[in-house]
Amino acid sequence: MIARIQRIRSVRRTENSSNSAATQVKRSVPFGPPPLLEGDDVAAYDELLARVSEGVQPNDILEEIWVRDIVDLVWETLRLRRMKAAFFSANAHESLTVILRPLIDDDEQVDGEEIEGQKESEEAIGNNYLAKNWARRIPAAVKKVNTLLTQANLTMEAVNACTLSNNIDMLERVDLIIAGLENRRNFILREIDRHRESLARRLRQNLEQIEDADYKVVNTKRPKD
Amino acid sequence: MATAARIKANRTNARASTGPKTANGRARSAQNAFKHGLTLHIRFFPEFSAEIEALAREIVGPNAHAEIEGLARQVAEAHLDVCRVRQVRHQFVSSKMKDPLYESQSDRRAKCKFLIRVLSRVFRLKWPKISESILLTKLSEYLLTVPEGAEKFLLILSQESRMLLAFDRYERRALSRRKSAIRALDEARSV
Repeated sequence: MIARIQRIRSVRRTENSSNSAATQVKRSVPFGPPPLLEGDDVAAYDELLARVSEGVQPNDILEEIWVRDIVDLVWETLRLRRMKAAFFSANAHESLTVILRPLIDDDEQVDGEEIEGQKESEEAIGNNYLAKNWARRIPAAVKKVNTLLTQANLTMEAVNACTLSNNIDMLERVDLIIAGLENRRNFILREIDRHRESLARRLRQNLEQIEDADYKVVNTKRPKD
Repeated sequence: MATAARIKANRTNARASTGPKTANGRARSAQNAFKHGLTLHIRFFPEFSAEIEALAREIVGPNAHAEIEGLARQVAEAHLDVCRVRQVRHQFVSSKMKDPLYESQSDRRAKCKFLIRVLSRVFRLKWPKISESILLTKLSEYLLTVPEGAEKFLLILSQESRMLLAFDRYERRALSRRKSAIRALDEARSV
């Protein structure tokens, strides 16, 4: 299995060097390229593959195929969960703009502008300016947002809830994909169980045949005196 | 109503003028309806035959019975089908991720509407109070703002869901074929 992992790695290196992984369909018997997208951590994927392979100890090529399937499915599930979390963080300032709208009046918005000391065109006047400064983690803006939320008896949960309600269709779709991936993983685990049972049965039959061949009938009759 | 002479003339003209003429053109137009080839069985792609044989041999070893070898070939075909679907899906998502101007259709429509509004104001000489350069900078900034990172990935998943669901369906079918083939192989081996 280790040799196989090294082979996959070498294939991947070749793919990366030719820089055409995404432009044409490539094949490498028997696994195909790993499901890595731009920005994915190759080392983390390799580590996951090595750890699962070590834990499962595949007995034959079919089990190796299943192990690779499971690793790919787990990798995709983890990526989707990571993306979902990142999506909430990336969209927090937009939701914050919505949450802050009734909590803030025009004078305070101008204060928000002064936080950064940037006076731009009239487009700068908008209640999303404070949220943008908050997203840039400017301390004064963060403090002001916290104060405003506390005064309104709100927390960041409200911001996340706003993001969720605005993007419920997209996030529901992601959850469905995750559920599908998990189902597929469970199905493969069941297949490994069934295959191992069949392998064990085969081994048992072989052993019985070997034992039968070695078996000799011993004459237990007592010799006559 | 068209006369027989007119129909004949139309047919003759059509035969003389439509469609590609050269062998290259004909070969290219023959692929016009080709999307991803996932509906076709892998046996129709001769470039996979060596891989199928190699994988089948790896599954059952060199001196297997002909029946077992046939079943192993079915497993190999089904598995390479699974790989093929995954590669096409991966390629599809990667290409969308690499598209620098990928955005949601609603955003694109909103931008078009906004641009039309701005241009109509410009033509009616109803400039806003800000200067021309600031307007152009803001406008280009707005038009070129597209989702990135996680937002882009999730947008692709939701916006391209029809295509991705189709890939899922192909993968499920290939996985089911592989499962049946492996079970048949295991059965045959245990007899």
